[in-house]
Amino acid sequence: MPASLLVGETLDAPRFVSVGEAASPQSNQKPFDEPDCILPALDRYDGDANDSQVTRRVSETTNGQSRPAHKISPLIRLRGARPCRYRQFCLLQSWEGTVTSKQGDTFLARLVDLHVRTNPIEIAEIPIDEIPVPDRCLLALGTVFYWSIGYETKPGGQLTRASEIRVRRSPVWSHRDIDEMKARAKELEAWLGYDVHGDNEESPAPAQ
Amino acid sequence: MPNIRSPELQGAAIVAIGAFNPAIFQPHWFALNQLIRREEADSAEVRIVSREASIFSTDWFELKVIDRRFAIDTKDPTMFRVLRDLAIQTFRILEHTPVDAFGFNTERHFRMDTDEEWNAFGDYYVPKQTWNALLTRPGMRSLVIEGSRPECNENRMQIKLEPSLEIHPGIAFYVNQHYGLDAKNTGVPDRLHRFVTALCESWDNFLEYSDRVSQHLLTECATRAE
Repeated sequence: MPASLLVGETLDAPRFVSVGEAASPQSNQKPFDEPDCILPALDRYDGDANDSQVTRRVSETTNGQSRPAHKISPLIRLRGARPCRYRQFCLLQSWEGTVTSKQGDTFLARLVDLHVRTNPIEIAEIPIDEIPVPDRCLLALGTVFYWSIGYETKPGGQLTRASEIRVRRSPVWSHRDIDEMKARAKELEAWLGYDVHGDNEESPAPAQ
Repeated sequence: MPNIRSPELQGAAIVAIGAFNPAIFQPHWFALNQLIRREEADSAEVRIVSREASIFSTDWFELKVIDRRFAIDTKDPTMFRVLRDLAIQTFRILEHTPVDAFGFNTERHFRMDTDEEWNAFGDYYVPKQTWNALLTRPGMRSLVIEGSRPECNENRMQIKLEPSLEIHPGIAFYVNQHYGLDAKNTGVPDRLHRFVTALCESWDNFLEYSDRVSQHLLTECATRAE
């Protein structure tokens, strides 16, 4: 129990109450994430009978003369027990891109809209500087990447417009994948009616 | 017509149940196999790596392999597809891993404009009249609905609504798409193949469905209120 938790005060998980009912202080409280306080807080209670114990305690410390309790904020607040790992990112647009050519310090890519799949494919010229340094060695023809654009809200409330590219790591084909691809290739061979290795006499003549 | 809301916080997770060797799943194994950047492995926060459990996190995902449960999750909405790729590549390398079941999971947290709007949402999906006879100030703590999707070959869908624990006043939507694999009649390679295939072919569709779930439930409530 944190030092700041006083008699009569409870920490309930939030829950929906009926429309029209004023949300109680308990239902507005966040779940347990109380910071540790160096000094205990003395709360103000205006006529709340449930907190008579607290009110009495404050009164007793002032030589029996009752006077309103005043809230004193702790001097030092430590971080809560559970750090937030969420990234507050409002995604405005995202694409899956495929590198089609590289030229100097830029590359061309084919972009598929991940939000609206029916949107036409777009071509973009992107500076290589946009690619994170550890991923640049992966950049080659056919490399797939994800491009996300949006607004990020930092923990301190600062809003930042962000454009990020993440390169997909090269696929590792399993033996099963390779066997399936070979089998599929054989099916296509049979369906097309010729042997791509040139053993079949009926192979089509090359185009003139 | 109510505007489409954007979630303030989002997360996605891939969970598999099977027989794993937790000791394998450490950051530098992933880096050595080119699954994550070496820099991410170097800066990973490792809580434990042992025969029984492996838990570590990088700046964009957390991995937990404990006994028979494998889970990777991210709270970065720009990395949902990268998470899928990571799972695919991991199990392409570990192609002999027995997997008995797996699931796709998302969470989305939306901030409501007022406490009244927040309460109205709970009241719409769980009307309080019946409960007033039994409880003082009844409130919806969690609502879980289970079913299936006709356009998907999963075994079970589950949608959960709760007051958000991350933002207030906020609503959290959790969607789970569960696949059971017939361990008795299907061999290990086939079960793993089904897992990887589902990741390749169904993950995007699942993300889109999760978006539709939250937008539909928010819009329904708001439309009725107007």
